[in-house]
Amino acid sequence: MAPEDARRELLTRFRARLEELDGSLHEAPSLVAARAAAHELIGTATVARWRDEALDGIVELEQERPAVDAEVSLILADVAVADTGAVGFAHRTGRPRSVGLLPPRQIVLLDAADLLADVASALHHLGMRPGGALPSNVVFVAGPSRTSDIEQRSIRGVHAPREVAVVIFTG
Amino acid sequence: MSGLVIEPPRGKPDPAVTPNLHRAAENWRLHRADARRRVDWEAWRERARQVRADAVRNLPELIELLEARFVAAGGHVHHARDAGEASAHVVRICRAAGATRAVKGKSMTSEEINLDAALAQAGIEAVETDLGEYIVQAMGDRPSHILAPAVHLSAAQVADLFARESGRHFDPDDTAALVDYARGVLRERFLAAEVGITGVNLAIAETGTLAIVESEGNIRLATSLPRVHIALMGIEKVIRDWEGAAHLIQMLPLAAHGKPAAASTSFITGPARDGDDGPREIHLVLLDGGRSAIRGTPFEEALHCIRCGACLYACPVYRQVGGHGYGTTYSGPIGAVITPLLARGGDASELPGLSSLCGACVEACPVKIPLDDQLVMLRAQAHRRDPARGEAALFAAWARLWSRPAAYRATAATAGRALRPLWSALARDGWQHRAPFPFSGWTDGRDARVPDAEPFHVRWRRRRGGA
Repeated sequence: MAPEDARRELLTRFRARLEELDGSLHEAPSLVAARAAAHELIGTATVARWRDEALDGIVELEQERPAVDAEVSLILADVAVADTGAVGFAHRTGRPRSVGLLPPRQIVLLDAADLLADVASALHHLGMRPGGALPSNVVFVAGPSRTSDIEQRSIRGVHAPREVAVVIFTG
Repeated sequence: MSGLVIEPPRGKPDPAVTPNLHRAAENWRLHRADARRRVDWEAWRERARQVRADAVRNLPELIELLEARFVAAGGHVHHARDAGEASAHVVRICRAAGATRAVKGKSMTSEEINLDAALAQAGIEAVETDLGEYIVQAMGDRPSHILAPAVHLSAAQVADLFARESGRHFDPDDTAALVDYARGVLRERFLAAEVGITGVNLAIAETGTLAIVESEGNIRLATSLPRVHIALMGIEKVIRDWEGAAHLIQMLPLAAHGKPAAASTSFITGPARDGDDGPREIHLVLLDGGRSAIRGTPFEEALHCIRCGACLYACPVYRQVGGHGYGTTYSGPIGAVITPLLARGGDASELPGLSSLCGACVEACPVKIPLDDQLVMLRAQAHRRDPARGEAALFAAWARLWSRPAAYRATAATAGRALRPLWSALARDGWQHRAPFPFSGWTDGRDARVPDAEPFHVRWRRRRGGA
């Protein structure tokens, strides 16, 4: 398979898995286009965001709120897994855990170069192996949080976001 | 001491909720079909079995490695020989942290050690945060499934509970409103808690990392917002390396729900560092609780269990009686095996009888535990310990009698006729709910059908004669 076809296949698989888990995927041809797409998705909602540079210029300063008050969280994935539809990220300075957890809607930016085929590659990509200093907290998120605890009825959004939109960009 | 709950079932399963159980089992069966289409299922099971077998075979070495790496990452490790010690560790850590409010993520191990009682006694308020667990806790009930604790309850019961709690009205059909209410109540608890208490799905020895999967997000909150995280795990949950972790972390949601991934998976290595806003302190309580004694016995494979819950839904007995029918912390086929092993016989010796030995559990198990063989071995053990010679003689005599057609015909017809008047007087809708002694031994835990006026062989003969 040509590299271009292989990438396309990964993306198709990732989309299928993510949508099956009630997440949504938006494609953008560049980081600039991804920021515009995220801006569009957010509209006038209040936002809590990570400080990653890739996330700059998407929301106005006046829209920003502490995690506990915000309607949308804006974060950047370190990796994504085509096999499972999950995005993975490490928490550290400028990337508080509470931001990705408390707001009911979540927008995740993802560099297409970080979309990998399987879980093992993704864990390796994140440095999850002996010898290095592992991040204290790495989380993989596959679609919105969900429960079927009441009579097996599937409900989206319990304690973590009820809506997860991934914006994947190339270039 | 063992903290495993072993008690007579609290009454009988509510017939109104049996359909819930059946629906859940049916859902699981559909999802399982998905899971098998996704991957080379048999090869995946064999690989998962190997990862678990390696872990249990090398348990002492791996626990030592896990402890060393967990401490190197900045965590604290506490060893507990039994339930009492494990609870005492948790209480001591809470006290040292000056904590009075804890949030709990779903953990069967915490049920096993009866942690809630120990915390309550110490004046520490511990709220379950998994929706099903929260409902069950608020009702003063116990979980009836490893993954779906409230599967035995109806939406109407939940709506009533929330209405009593809040003074508001809830429509049982508006599931989203019920979930929203619980989210709001629990959000406050998360923000106020000083300690988060969770279980562990896997511990990766080579880096001292804990892996926890979930659907709701309550585990992430419990391991992010409070300043202290206490993780509680049975020692058998350790595995060697990340290669094994990558496999099992996918196998678990596939076996449990047929889904490609859990809604979230957390990998935790030490307390928060590098400006991360997570807990300042992390403690790992390692519970033996009878597990070491199972190693090296013919039952060692029971320790391979990854607590996916698949064997429960697969089991025709579980589907009829529900988790509470077992009267134990762990129910279903795996519960009928590990409870007597962890509790060393005693009151749990009758549990392996709760199986039809059909083998559906073996086929469902993602790590290929030979549950049927183990059930048979446990039955044999219980019989050797307590041969019940009187009972055996009675059954032998009965078998001899009913092996003769004439004797069978005479006694079967008579027995039915003799019992029927007494039986019918106490029955409702053709079912006997509360029989007098000695039959109450049966009807305390289950219903019995009123015998038909005529035995089958009489009706059959008449019908054949008439045709």
